[in-house]
Amino acid sequence: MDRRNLISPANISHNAGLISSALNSVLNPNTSELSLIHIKRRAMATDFEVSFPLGTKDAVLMAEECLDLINMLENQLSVYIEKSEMVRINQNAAKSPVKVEPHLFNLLQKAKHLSHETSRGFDITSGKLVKLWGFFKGPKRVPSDSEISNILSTFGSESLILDLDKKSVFFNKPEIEINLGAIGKGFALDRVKKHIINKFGISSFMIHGGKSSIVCGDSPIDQPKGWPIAINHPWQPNHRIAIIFLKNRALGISAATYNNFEFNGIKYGHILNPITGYPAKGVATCVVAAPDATSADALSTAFFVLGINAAIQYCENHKETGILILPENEKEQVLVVGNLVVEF
Amino acid sequence: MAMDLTAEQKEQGKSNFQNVSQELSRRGFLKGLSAGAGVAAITPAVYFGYKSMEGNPVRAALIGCGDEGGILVGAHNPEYLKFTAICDIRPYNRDRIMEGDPKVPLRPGFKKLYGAESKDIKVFTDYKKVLEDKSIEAVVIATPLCNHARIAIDAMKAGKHVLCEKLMAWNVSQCKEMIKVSKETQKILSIGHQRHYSMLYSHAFEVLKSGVIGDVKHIRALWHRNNSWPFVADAAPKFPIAKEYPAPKYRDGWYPPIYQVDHDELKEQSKMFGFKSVEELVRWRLYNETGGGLMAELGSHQLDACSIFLGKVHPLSVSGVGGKIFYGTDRNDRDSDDSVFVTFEFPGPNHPKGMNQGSDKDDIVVVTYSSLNTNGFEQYGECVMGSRGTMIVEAEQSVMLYNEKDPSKKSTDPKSTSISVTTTPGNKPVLDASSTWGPGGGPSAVGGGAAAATGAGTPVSRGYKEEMEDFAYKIRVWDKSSKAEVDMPRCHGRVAMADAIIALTSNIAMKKKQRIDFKESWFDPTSAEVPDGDTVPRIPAV
Repeated sequence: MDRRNLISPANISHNAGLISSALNSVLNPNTSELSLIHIKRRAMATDFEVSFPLGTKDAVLMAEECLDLINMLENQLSVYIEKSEMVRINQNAAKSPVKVEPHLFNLLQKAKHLSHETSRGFDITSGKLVKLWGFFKGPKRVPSDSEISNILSTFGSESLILDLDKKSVFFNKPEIEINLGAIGKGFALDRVKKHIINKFGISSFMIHGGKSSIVCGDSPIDQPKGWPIAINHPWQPNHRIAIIFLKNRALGISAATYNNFEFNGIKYGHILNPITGYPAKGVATCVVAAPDATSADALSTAFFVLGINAAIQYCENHKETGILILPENEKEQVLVVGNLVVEF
Repeated sequence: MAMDLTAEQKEQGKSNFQNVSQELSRRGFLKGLSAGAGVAAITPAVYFGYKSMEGNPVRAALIGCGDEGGILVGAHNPEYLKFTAICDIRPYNRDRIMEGDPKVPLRPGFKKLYGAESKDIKVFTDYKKVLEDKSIEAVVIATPLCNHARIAIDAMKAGKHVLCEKLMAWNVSQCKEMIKVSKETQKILSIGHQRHYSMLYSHAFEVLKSGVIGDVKHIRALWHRNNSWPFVADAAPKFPIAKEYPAPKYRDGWYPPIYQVDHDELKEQSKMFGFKSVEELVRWRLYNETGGGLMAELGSHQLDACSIFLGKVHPLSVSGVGGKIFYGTDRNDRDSDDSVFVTFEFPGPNHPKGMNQGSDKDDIVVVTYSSLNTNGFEQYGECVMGSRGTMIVEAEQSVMLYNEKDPSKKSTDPKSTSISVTTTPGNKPVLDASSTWGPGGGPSAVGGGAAAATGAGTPVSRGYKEEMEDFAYKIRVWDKSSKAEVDMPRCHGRVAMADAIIALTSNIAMKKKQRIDFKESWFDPTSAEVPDGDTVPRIPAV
């Protein structure tokens, strides 16, 4: 368990010594400025932005092509778009196996695998649960215990029957509705990353979707540690928790910040625990670094739901993953575990 | 329309519209609503006041088997109206109406629709021969505009009921003549402004009437298309393209290639039907003497919609700018304007000429309309702007409803690409990560469940099917009973003439660069008065 540290944000300097990676690459005061060009467009209900070091040839043209790809993927994945492939799958896959576009098939496969790996902390088949709480189109509501317990048995990624040869999906439970909300942005970023590297031959770039899914290429010149990404406190935006450095890696951030609501004095967050059917509790922010954005996106949701112990255990078996968790309880310490280059 | 809305915002708008119309329906303000759960849907037939077909389907002939004819064939219901004959002077069209258009599923062709029975369809080239056929009860006319009046009038005089495509006629005098002949011959004359048979528009009107979006002072309607992309010929065309005519430079439905079969058969004959050349016949929409330009082809539908929204009222004035500012010699050249921008004053509900016939002369609704050929960013549609909300009808397929933004609320971002440059000191964060889920919507664009797909599956009927069903139904009732008791189809001559007057007067205003006030007498079929500039047609009505 290398680079595992337990840190209190209020007492960072005392613990800083424990963070080997951060200490080994202390900010070089002579580092030159970093100028970037950012190209941004609305997609998937948020802003997607492609950034290149300023001076990268044809940056805007390349970015436009990337953003077009994201728009295209939105048309495929969004359940808000009537004719999307995802809608078609949700409508038909309980009746008979539905043939799926190969990339999307891979995504479903990966989502199922990640659900298994996280013991269902993350589950794309919980669309009906999301709706039950009104997180889909509103109005938000607190369902009754029996409504929740009834719905829990109607989904589960193990009931996604994926036929590798036929590239088809079948819902073994008729009520299943796939919800790619916790993985779609990451998937889109991975596709764009591949496009940039393979088609344009560009290695230094950063792309993000809504600042909560980020994927980076090689370090910009004079930034040997990687692309510096600030992690802020979810309720106190001016309070910086950490800076994470990313190099050829991706970051997923989950926090129940915006889409929550209050009922009878209790606050309910928008990230639902697919095991209990209730909003996840205990974590304020969960940040996951992984080799690909699809995994980072899904895992940040999973460990937001499952909490610190599950995160520690996961990183023991997945050395490529790094996790930062800020607990909801301000008295608890920030957890940094696994492979993460972080500075406080 | 709705260019700055995300997919979620659009869904939210659709859901808002449904919520409001369901509530109105529940309270008895709406006759019935097809979309949305929880409300017993009624069929368009009930809504539009016609019933199941009594007796045999009407035996009809399709005169004019081009692009629009193909759409009508695709939409018709043979339980009401059965095509027993087709007529077109172009061999290309006669072939396509039977075989279908492989690239356009909406034009499936008779072979697919009628199967073996399609062999029984009689094929004509001269419409006069169709009119001699006693077995044919009605004609559906989808020819170039310049021939509408002549064929419709001849048909009614020959004892046929007529459903004629819009625009009703090439000029207002012809419209009046058609109405006159309909009366004299006691034949039904219905015009194909399909929005009169669209449940979507009917409900949009009901919701508007309820006042939920406050005072409506502006409607913005548009149909923008980008016909500036290079023309690419079919790799393996079914018919070779004739070399005698300028080839399309741009991909433009109004400037199609001219096929050798049409040239060979019609190079002499086209003149018999009033056309100067095969090119004028095939590309009739481009010429002022054969077509009516963008206002007739596209604008008339949408001004029709605006009239519907305001309670089927007539506009007060029009002015506008139009021009052929993109196409030219060797570049899909034409007579007609390739860009039109017109502004109308319509009477608001409380205006003396408005829906409620009030006394407020200042209750004016300004309607702007544009149609152009060099940008297709926005989907076509109509945007009704009220003081408390906005209703957007997009592509005849969806209605979205939004409250006016509370000044204290954050506005939404337009769907546009922004470019910025930042400079940060070395090793300082280049991005502040966060977990933004956006206001209101769902977990994210790709989150949620399948029920978001409101009305997914079959597209909303644009009204073609219903317009033909009602036409056929009315014929059956008409022929059996005392005619005075039968309602005319919803878009009968007088209604459609108003749409033609709007479109044609707009063209005159742009041509003369004048503001024109509409006169009520123009809209009166018994009055001989027509707009100044209602020029003499090359192809006479009778």
